[in-house]
Order: sequence, then structure tokens, then C-alpha cells
Amino acid sequence: MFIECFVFAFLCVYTYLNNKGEDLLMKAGTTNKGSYEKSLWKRVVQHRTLYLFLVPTIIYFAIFSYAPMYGLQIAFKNYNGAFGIWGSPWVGLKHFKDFVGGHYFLPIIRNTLTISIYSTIIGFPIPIILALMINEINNYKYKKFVQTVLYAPHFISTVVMVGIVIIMLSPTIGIINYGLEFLGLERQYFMAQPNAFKHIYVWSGIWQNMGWGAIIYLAALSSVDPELHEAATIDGANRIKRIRYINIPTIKPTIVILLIMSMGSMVSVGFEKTFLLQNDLNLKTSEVISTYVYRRGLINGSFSFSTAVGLFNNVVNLILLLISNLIARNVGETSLF
Amino acid sequence: MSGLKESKGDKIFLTVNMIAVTILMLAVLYPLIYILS
Repeated sequence: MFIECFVFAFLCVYTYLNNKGEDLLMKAGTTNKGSYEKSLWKRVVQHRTLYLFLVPTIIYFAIFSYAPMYGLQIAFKNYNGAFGIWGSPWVGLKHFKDFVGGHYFLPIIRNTLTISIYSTIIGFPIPIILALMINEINNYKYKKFVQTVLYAPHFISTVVMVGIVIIMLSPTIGIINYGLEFLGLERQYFMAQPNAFKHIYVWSGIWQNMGWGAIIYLAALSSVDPELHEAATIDGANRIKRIRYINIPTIKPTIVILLIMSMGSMVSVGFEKTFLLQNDLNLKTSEVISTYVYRRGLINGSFSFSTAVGLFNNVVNLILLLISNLIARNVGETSLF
Repeated sequence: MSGLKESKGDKIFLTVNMIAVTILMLAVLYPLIYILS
């Protein structure tokens, strides 16, 4: 929540300053961005109030993301609590080799990739479609009511959400099984079916986050110039054509940025929800990198090994993010950096 | 935009959109009410 707010603040500041920069360039009648970028410090001073919004984010990341990075060295050591992080002996890439060579490597990677690719393919377009649908509602009060209802599940904690999922899918009192019975089908114990795990994970995530995910697209849609719609309507464009040729191109840069960011977590499946939905019967498909790291690192006490697995995970994520950013930059005009 | 008349197709689109959003909203709301009640 904290991060999302400040990432949003960052995007606002970034977009504002980018537009401001382009305006200044246009006013100056020049396309020489180099001379403009040289005055970065001047811009920072000029827009210091806006940059102040970034300070909590920077402090947050400095304390919780960058400062703990010194501990990453234990991925290359045999960590022993008695010697501490600095005093433990170096073992090179031993833990990485153990992980990649282990019999559990392929199933874990397969489960992680299956869930995250499934989440991206299904979960990424749904907030976009939802935002486009909400944007077309004419009744202001109903629109706000729908938005409020759709945002609500986002504020439920993961533990409560998993509780709801388990109750809804319960073979005795679950509404889904009542529905199956009504249709003449047999009741199912979904939580015990390994094949059902990925569907439960992905669709419960969509239920919880689609409304929240639509906010940023609705914000982008609010910047559409109404004159464009008026002109298109006079030219005979119907609603669908206006969505296709005005609304979607307007939110395209936002879509690309969020897609690149989602690529950066492609090999990460959230620990909390997976762990809570996991049981011995579905372990075959529910064991992902994050739960494996927890099991090995905290339960078995293999801190170095689990750090190596976590580092491997993050490096793959970083590579994916850089590749998707490169593709986005070459194919379109929008990219993160 | 208020001065421009909606076409028949647009009216159908708006009705379908409204129904779809309402169904979606109920699908999101139902589990919450089910648990709270």
C-alpha cells in the first residue's frame, strides 16, 4: 500500500516533469534534449516541492531494500551465526549449483512460471477492460458506487481473503459446490486438487485486485480531451470506435509501463497467499520459489542456500525486466528507462 | 457531449455495459456479504 502510493506519486511527478520539459523545449523551438537534460539540477531546484514527494519513497527503499543488500553476500558463503555475516567462510557458487542441480529445481520453476504467466495473461488485461467499462458509465453516482465496491476487496488482508476462498470452495458449505450440485454435478474438494491450485490462486487474485488495478487506467482515461470524443461523435464514430481509437491509445503508455513492471516480477509469486492456500495435498503444484525459500531458509535453517535461491530469482526478474524494457523501447515509444 | 444524441447502437452498448458492470460488481460483493452475514 505504502509503496503503491509513492510509486504513483513518483509517476505523477515524472509525467508532470516530462511534459514540462517537452513544453519548455517546444517554447524554446529546439529539439536538442541534451542541453535541456544538462539542467537537471536546476529543474530539481525549480520543482523541489514535487521532488519532496519522492523523499519518503527514497528513504523507504534505502532502508528496506538497499541497506539489507549487504547481507546478500551470505549467498556465496556458508553462513554460520557464530561467525556472523562477515566472518563466515566463502563457498563461491556452491549454493547456486545445489539449487540448479537439485531434483526440486524443475518442478519449482515450472510451478512459479505457470502461476506467474497465467496471472499476467489473465490478470493484466482485466483491469484495463474494467477501467474502459467503468469509464463508459454515464451515471456519476452509480459509477462511484461501482468503483467503491470493486476497490473493497483490495483492503482485505490476505489471511482473510484466503479464508473467504476456502469457505467459498468448501465441499460442504461452499457456494461453488452448491452451484455444482444444482447443476447435477458432484461436489468437489478444490483445495485438495493439485490442478485447481493455479486457477484458485489467479482468480482469487483477480477478484481481489482488479478494481484497484483499474484505478491507474481510470486516472489515465480522465486525461482524454472531451473535444476528441465530441469530434469523433460528429464524424459518426460510435462508442466502440471511440474506445478503440481514442481511449485505448491514450492509456497505451500506461499499459506498456505497467506491463514492463509486471515482467519484473514474472518469476516471483507472492509468498503469503501461496503459503496460506498450500496444503499437503496440493503441494505438487503449489510449491513455488518463495515458499521453498521459506521452507529451506527459516524452517531448515539453510540461510545461505535460501539467500542464493532468492538472489537467483531476483536476477532472473531483473533480466526479464531489462529485456521487456528493451523490446518496448525498440517497438514503441514508451519505456521505463 | 450532452447536446449530441446517442445512437441506437450506443444505447445498446451502454445497457450491455451497465449490466456487465453490475454482474461483475455483484460477483465481487457476494463473497464479502456471504462472509459477513
